[in-house]
Amino acid sequence: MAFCPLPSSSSSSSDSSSSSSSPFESFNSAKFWILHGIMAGVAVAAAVGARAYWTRVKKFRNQVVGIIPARFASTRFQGKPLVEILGKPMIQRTWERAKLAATLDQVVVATDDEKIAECCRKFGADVVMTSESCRNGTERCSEALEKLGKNYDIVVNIQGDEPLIEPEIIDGIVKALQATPDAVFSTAVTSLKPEDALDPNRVKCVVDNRGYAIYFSRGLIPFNKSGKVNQQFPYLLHLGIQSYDTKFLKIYPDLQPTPLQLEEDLEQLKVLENGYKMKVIKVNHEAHGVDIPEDVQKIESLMRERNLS
Amino acid sequence: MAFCPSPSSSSSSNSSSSSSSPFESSNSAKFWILHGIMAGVAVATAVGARAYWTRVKKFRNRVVGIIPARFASTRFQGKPLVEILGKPMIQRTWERAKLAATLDQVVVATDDEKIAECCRKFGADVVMTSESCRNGTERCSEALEKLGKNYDIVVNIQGDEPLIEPEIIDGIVKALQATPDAVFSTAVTSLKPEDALDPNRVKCVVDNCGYAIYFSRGLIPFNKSGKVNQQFPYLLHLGIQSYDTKFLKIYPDLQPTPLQLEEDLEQLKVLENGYKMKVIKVNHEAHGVDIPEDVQKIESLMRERNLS
Repeated sequence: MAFCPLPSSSSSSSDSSSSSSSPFESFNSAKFWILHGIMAGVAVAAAVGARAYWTRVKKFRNQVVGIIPARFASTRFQGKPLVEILGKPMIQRTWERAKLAATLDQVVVATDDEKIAECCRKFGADVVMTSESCRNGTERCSEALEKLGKNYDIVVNIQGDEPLIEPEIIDGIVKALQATPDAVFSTAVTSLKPEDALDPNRVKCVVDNRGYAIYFSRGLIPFNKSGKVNQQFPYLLHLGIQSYDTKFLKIYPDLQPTPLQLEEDLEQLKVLENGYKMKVIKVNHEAHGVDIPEDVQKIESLMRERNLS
Repeated sequence: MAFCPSPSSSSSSNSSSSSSSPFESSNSAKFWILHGIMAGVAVATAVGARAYWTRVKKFRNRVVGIIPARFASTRFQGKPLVEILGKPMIQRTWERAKLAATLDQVVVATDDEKIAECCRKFGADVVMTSESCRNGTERCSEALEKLGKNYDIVVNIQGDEPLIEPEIIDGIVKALQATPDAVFSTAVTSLKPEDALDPNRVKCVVDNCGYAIYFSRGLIPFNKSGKVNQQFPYLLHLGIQSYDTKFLKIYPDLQPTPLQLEEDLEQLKVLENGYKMKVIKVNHEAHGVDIPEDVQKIESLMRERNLS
């Protein structure tokens, strides 16, 4: 940058007009560069600031999809998703409940059977076809997510056989995962009834003082010196609903099965044994799963009692 | 720094100085450049040396073993002083601890003058602690404070395991030194199937990197059948533990936690507060002395093995 004005008494007459204006020209040149430099600097600062503000204001993990895995085959109850409960297919009831969850950007049924897919399309559900070889709901969710091809941050795995699932529970586990960046998985628990304490089909859960899962077991946990069920202790029953960070879901089904998972036959232990963190919320929920044909009548009576249709 | 030599044709009175001024200013420049470089090299050397030293110096390398030994006991009053094949139990435990290579010092922490006297007789360092310590961990914490030295790890060595192997002490120390994100380390051994349903035997489950997941008086892992699986390698928790001293300073004051209280297992307080614990698996037959009858058992065992 030239700050020293050029001597006015210089070169030939042909440049007289230019030379007489040259002090101003070079000065303007300096000003020009300073001004444009400042403007560029301000523009860059504004861009950086806007991005920082946007990143902070934009919710973490805010693109959420709910997937209802629904397979046709079953040892105990063939074609279960299509069974009618008070005149409406169970899969439709679950889907309608899931649609009420405010945190879900989309709800998708992931199935391996054309009859189920057809039924779902009839009542307006998005359907993704997945393979029959999926070994469990999580694998099916993972395959469906891939086929959807969209950029979701969280996948909620909604059990198709809990037609009375409360939308608030879905929202609760989504918000828990959004609020806990170091967790890759979130799920829910409810109060365990003392009569279920020694039932290995009821999965118990223990958590730490910030709501991270410590362990799940078919045995009674926490145990105690007397070896008896403590009628005063607030034991926790694990509910089947779970949500995953999608980056984690992509690798989860391919993780090798782990010793505790295999012995307890509890897939969620694979998460803990691989050192990942899981957030747990406590809810009030009476589980009304439909596992066998007899459960249908039970749930229909309950719904009539409560005037649900 | 002046690179442009000042015009040689300047004022006369400064002729001598002016004629040497180009060299003077260039010498001055050289002076500053040279000293700047030397200072830079000195700083770089200092930084490099510090980084090297920090990396080479072992992490958490100052270790003290503390044997809490209180006199009072509901089941066995004065237990540390009971003689096993002619030698006080506390002395046997201390002698074993002294064989552990990773310990820089071994200290007996007691609340009783008789125990202190006995220990000083066989050459042990003793720290007096208060009778109100509720458990071994609190006693270790108080002893550490009274010692006033800069230790990184404290090993809490149970006074009533006179056959403790020094290798187990070294093992848990090395585990804690190798695991910066853990604040606590302990050991497990194989659980015998007949102990699986005994609530006095504490079971442990770990993750695939050796961090503790949970401890329970109930059988863990459980299974669908509800029966003990004869093929499963269940783990039995041993009483020995080591702590990062920064953690030990706050640990006794942490509020008791729900699972800790229900299971009556102090180590659950560590997990419930979100801290990480490393676990090593060892081969160890536990021979704790809890009641007077255990003395004869352990003496027979020692005679069988020709230990004295």
